[in-house]
Amino acid sequence: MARKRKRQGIVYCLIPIMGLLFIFHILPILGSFAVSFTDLWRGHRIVGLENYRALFRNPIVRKAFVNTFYFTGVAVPVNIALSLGIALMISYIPRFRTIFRTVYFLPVVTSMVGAAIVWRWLYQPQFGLFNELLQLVGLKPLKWLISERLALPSIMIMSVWKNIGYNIVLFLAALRGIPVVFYEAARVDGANFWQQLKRVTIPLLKPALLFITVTTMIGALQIFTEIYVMTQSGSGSGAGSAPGGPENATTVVVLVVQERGFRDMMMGYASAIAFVLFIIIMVMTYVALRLLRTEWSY
Amino acid sequence: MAVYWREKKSIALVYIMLSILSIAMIIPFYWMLVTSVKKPSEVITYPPVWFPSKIQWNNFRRLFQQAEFGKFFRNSSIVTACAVPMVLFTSSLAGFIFAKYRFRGNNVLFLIVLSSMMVPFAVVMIPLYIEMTLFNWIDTFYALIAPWTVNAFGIFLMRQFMFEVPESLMDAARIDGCSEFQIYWRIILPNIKAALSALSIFIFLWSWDSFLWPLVVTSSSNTKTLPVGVAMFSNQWWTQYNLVMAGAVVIVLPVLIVFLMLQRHFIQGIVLSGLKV
Repeated sequence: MARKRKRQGIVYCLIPIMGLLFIFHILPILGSFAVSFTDLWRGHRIVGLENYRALFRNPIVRKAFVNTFYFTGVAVPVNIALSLGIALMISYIPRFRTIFRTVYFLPVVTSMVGAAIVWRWLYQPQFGLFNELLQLVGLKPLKWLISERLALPSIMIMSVWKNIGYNIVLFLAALRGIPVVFYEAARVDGANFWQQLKRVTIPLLKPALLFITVTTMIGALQIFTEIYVMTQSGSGSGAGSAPGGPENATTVVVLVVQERGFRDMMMGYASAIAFVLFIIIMVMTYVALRLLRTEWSY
Repeated sequence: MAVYWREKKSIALVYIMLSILSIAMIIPFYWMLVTSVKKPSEVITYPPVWFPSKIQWNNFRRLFQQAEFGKFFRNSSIVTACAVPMVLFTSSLAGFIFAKYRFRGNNVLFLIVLSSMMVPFAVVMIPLYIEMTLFNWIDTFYALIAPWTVNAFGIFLMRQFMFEVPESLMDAARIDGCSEFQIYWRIILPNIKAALSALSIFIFLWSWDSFLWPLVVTSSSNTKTLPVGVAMFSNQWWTQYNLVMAGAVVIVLPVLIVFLMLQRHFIQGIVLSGLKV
């Protein structure tokens, strides 16, 4: 018994670790909820739901939510379709799988700020590589990040490039986990490639698909760095004036939280915006879990 | 996937498609490297120069001669060098305890860890900043390091790996007179090297690449980190984009090198974290 208790002594090591976690990660979550009902730092009053009411009235905040949904709604499905397609192709080939996997994975382990600076230069309308390539194949140059219509799609392309490698690795692992007997059975039944894909591969990938959908979506809803770096000002750099430009075409939720909270010091208001995002993330995660739930396993 | 429907012709086609896509993935890296060693006159020209006439390694020297850039590099190195070992230690110890000991509140505490993983950073950021103000830590290394000495994802990942270390190994060590902490230090840690290297790349990347938090919490060049500094430069030095690209190379390269060294473990770590939930 005494030895048993001595063994348990190590459990007390959790106290400092959990303490740090509590101070820096858990307390702020509770704090955020509390702060969102105040007018810090502009004042020190409790304003109830005023911040929440104000944020839905503000056209820029509304635009930020719309842009965030637009970004998520396009970038996430494109990312998943592309990464699944590439994973299927990689698993199809007999050799050089590791090399291809590594190549597609490189952007994932690239600094986001570094990548954003590079892409900003690729998109540069006058000297950028993309317009040069377009002209090589006889197309008209585009305005990319300067164009209100194209700015957010340009960032979607960059973001898909940056993130597909992660999902490719997950899909590859899931594909490897599918037992060979299923394909053998399908073959015996005379299924062709597309039938096998539709009836065997995709259904059996559902758990992986669920995880990938949820994590990619959560990441996309919190997009910030790419937008901040690629759309900030710089004389003639080919972007709008402040991050989120041109004309708020790339203003997203986290950007608004950062600007309201730290540029305008409206921390209560910014917390309310962040909290709405949090609730949206929870709801969308729940919906994804319900839609992609599987009742069986193999 | 299994190889039942492979045909020679379609294999060739798949190779071609994968190669074309690979080139598209690589082009931004190529453009970054090539621009970083161009002469200024070759940066802003039309049509763009694919191969620089002469490689200007000098750009990197000029970059580090900017007093501020050297500081940013130093600051990022300090922050990462502190964060990585701290997170490895706290995550592996907590993961070990959560996985291998039964005590009251084990599940509840672990659930708290898990749920804190789901909260977007935008929610945490403002109260965390207020805490830093109360501690008087704004624009100090404490603010850049202390909040990131524990990592919920790290604890979660380590706990997953700990289940693979057999209980009998621990019992054998106990019979040999090891204390519980010695078991952790001498038996567990050497047995989860793969997991530790996976986690260390994750943390290295996050720490080195962290942007939003350093952006709000630093104000002087004494604490600004490389991503914040380079993002700032990329605006000011718009006419010297070769230097900006050299800056991008300096941010990108360390993580790439570590990744290529520890690649196998990293991939294994991603797969375990993703699919064993």
